[in-house]
Amino acid sequence: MIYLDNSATSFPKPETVGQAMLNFINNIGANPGRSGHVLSIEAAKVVYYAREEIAELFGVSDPLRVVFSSNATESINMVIKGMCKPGDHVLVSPMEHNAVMRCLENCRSHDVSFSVLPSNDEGMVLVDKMAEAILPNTVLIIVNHVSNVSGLIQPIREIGKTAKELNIPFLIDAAQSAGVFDINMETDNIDLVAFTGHKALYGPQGTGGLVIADEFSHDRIAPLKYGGTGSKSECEVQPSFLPDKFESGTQNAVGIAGLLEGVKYIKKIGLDNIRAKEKELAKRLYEGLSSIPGIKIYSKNNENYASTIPFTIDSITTSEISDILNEKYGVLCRAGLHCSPGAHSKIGTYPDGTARLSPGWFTTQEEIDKTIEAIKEMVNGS
Amino acid sequence: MKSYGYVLFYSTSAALRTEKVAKILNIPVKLVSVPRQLGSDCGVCIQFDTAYEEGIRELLESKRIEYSRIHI
Repeated sequence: MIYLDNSATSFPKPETVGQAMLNFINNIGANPGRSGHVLSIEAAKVVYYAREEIAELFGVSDPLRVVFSSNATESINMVIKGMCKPGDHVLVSPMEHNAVMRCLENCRSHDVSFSVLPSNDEGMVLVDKMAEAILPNTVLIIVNHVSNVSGLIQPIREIGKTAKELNIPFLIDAAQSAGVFDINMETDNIDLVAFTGHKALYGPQGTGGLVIADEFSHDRIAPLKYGGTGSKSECEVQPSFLPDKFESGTQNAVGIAGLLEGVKYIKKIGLDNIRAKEKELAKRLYEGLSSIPGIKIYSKNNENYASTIPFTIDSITTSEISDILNEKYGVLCRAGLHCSPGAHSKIGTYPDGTARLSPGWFTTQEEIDKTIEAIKEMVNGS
Repeated sequence: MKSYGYVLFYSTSAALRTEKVAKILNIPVKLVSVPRQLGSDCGVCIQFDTAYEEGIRELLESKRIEYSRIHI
């Protein structure tokens, strides 16, 4: 079996991820931060160490500004629903996932509006035209750092600099980028990062979070959830301090134990090395597929793109491509619209979508070569 | 004989952060259960040698760590 669906969820995981989760469930198990006994403190330490590792990954000095959630989607909801009031306006890139778009569509009924930032044909935000898109009531800019559809990398540092000059909070959706691309919230002027644990951070599903920049006032965001935090139990009003303000209910400490090991693993390998390997695999795949007649690839083999390769074949529908690859060749990929109809529209692949191949750190050159051969055979046989 | 002070927190996360930063700054501290007479917000607190009181207060201030109170 050849797994090329790492943009959806990375697989396999480093061995230490599962081991840490098993150890937590069998030997720690308690509720983090709810009691003073040894196992509760052990559990709280695991969660805290994960905050430290993640804060460092994103260039934040205070680990308590790492708020855990179940995934990037929940974190994005936290920001949009928590910040936007009736009459407010939000600017987004044209490459946003439904995590952003459905939330914004839902907020229309609360009189929150949104519009799309100026971009080039590939969907890259035109930074020098950003100011023209700002309205007097714009309260937030949201950009999908790396597109899950095309792999396009947005110039977040330049966007962050401009957002800061315009004094508008800047949220990035780092679902695809965290763990592969360098993100420093301080030097890149990013106020908020929504991340998920189960992709390039190599943690389990059900983990993720929101990172709040050291200087960003979290008073601007109301909690999405209210409830028990293990702190200030005598008070029936939600705590105002981080991370408890946004972390009502028992945390997924088992998952976070795995995520901690995933983050430690990628740091040990080094993001530069991960990026270089994945780019090399993507280049090989891109070049191999480019030579096949009737194939169209919707990413580019240059520094503006990550390792995701979306493609179509003239004579075969995208769902058939993924079915044949799965059943006949054991190549696992994802076909369709990837929860991002707007991004597909932007690159001209709506409503048919694409088949998407996404290598990860554990993908081998041999697997890439076998995949190219499988697709060649499939095209010849069609 | 040493005398101990205690920093009480609203959350275990803040207590763990204080413990970690104190270790980096070579301020000896210990994570302990909140002494019964001091009540309890989160179950654990930081115990420190009162000789380091100034250092503890500076640490909490400079790192902007949310705490409930310091008991000497």
